[in-house]
Amino acid sequence: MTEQRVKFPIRFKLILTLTVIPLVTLSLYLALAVDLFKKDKIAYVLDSSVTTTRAIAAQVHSNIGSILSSMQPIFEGFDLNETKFDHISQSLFQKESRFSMIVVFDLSSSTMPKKSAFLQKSVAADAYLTSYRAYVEQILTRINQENLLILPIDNGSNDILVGVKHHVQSAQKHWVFISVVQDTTLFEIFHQSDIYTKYLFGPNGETLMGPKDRDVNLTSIVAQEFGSFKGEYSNEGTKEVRTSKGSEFLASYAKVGVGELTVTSFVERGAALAAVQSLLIKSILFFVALISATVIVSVFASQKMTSALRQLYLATKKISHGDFDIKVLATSKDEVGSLAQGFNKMAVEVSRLMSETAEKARMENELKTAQVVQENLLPPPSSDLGAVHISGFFEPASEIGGDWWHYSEIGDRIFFWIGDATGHGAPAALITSAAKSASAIVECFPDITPAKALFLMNRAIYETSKSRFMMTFFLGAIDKQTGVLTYSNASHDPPYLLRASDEPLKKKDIVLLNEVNNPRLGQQRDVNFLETTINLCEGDSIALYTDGVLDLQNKSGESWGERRFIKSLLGAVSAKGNSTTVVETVKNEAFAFREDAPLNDDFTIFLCRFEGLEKAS
Amino acid sequence: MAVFQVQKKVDGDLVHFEFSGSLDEDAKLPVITEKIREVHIDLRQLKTINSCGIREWVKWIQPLSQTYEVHFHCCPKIVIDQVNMVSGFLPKNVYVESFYVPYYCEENDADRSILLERERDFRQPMGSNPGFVNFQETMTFDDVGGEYEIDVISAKYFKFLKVS
Repeated sequence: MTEQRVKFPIRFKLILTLTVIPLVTLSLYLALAVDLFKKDKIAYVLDSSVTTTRAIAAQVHSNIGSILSSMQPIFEGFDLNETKFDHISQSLFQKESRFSMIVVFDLSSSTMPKKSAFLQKSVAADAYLTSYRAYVEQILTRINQENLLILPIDNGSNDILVGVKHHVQSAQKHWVFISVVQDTTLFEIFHQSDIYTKYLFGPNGETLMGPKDRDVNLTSIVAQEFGSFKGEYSNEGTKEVRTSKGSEFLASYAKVGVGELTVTSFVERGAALAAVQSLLIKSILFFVALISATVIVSVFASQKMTSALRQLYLATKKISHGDFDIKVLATSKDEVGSLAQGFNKMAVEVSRLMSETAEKARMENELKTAQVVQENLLPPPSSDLGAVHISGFFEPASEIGGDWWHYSEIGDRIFFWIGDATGHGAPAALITSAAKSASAIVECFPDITPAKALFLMNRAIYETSKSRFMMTFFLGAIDKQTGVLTYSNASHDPPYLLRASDEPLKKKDIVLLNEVNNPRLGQQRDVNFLETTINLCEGDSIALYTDGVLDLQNKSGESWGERRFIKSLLGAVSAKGNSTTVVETVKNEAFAFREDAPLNDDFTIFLCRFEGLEKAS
Repeated sequence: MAVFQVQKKVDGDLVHFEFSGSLDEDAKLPVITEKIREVHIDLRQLKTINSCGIREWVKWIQPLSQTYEVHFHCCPKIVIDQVNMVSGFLPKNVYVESFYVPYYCEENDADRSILLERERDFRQPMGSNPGFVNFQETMTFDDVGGEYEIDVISAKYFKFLKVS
């Protein structure tokens, strides 16, 4: 299985997350804050602008009002019949320093207006009038509709032409009084260069006053925007305007209140929002610095946080290649630190388990070998030895067991041996090996008795185990010529002698071979074993077994027990089968009871059937 | 398997033990440090004995019986089986005061045990005095019907009383 490569390390994810989140949130905040600040600034600027415009309009209104007030008494001294000013008017005119000239035109004629009278302060009045001819003609042309007309002469002279129409109903005469008034203050207001660009517009949107360096585009836009103010706009207001060239301005206007004049103020949007721009730039710089710092901190923090993870990753790669000699450094006191510690423990445990598994596999192999060896310690499962027919069955509780059974011919006798070492498994199996070896020596003595044989066996077992392991043992010898059974028992379950009978056998028919009992083999170094004899008849059976047969349990933990064993044995023997059949039957019934529950002890049963005296050849 | 446990009570110069559980290789048989004369052991709660347990028992009871008079009470079948089978399980100076004899009714598929008591029902042979045991091969009980048959081979079970 190929290893999955790391395409997008956790460290990069961490750095990205730690950077993107503040980036996005701060950007949103910045955008909202700047927008809010901009709107607030615009509102403030417009408010200030309209205040300024209003003030200027009031100033203009005041100045023009003052001029008109000054003109009024002079006009009152004009004799309409004589068409000349009286001396008071002249005197007032002379005193009024602002007035340069007053000309009176008669508009009664349907043809050209006629100059009727004028007042002058200098002899150059005609020349003066001639220089203003175009303006005067303008006034005369328009004065019929507008009773009052103010026309600043924006040529550096600071003069204003004021035209006032006077109608005499009775005489059916129309007079126009045009005064040339000098008002430096008014011009200065509009010439003044500050953040606000101020204009004075006439009733038809014509520019009357404005800054010295006039923006032609702006002027035309304004003229277009504010057009004619007659009734279309309120007395004052604000507006955002854009020129054809894309320049943006914040504008305010205020009607003067006289002569249909309107004052407007403009401020460039950029200039008004200069502070916002400055804030934006500083914020962006701060923002960049913050993000840079965040990135740097993220790099270091993620390095620290993921270092343990990286170690874990490298450690798992090593483990996958079979190298368990690893230790991840776990210094942090968080989940990653705990994970690293857990990983270290796991590596140690896995290493230990693998060693144990390897050891277990080795031991299993050895046990399998031992099993093969032990199988060689056992005789063929059945044998016909002439006078005696023997059949047996053995199954260890584990791979190897502590039960051992054997039969052999020694001289004229058939010896049958059964033993059960303490416990089961490998230690008990070693004792059976010792028993087998001892029996091989015993068989070398043709006249040996069961008691003597057990004496020798006991010494062999004792020397092998030094009383740590013992063996119950039964040894019997059937004389083929006489049918006498001699036996000696070393604390083993006494075998059952089942006499041949035509009737079904009952429990009371069982003859126990327990007349003598001796200590277990290996319990003490030297024991004088006792033996006894009993006569056998043709057809008699001797059933030998180990306690594993009685202790066999089913899945419920119930033991097969002596009662079931006896019933099965007696039934099988009574069925007149041969020893093989009897053993097979008992074994099958026992294992049927057991079902598939594991054996809790080694299971051994064998049967010797005495077939009758061997005829001497 | 149930763990081997020991309850101990000292009463003057007697010590009373109650053994329960499984007598196996892990069983810790008690050590007596008191100055006593008799040891009485109630064995009715002993459930199983394996070959390793037998070894431990023989190693323990041999020196104990040489120092104190030991009495076994309420011996279950598993103990009597070992008494009969294993040489040294019941050494000299150890007396069975009472033991259970199992009965079985095939009709009811039921077990029952009766307690035999020393002197009343049995006696171990001692010196020239032979032993005896009074028992019945079959029994009936008032509280339940059916005939109960002794569930042991008598010659094997009562062998320690040397009754033929």
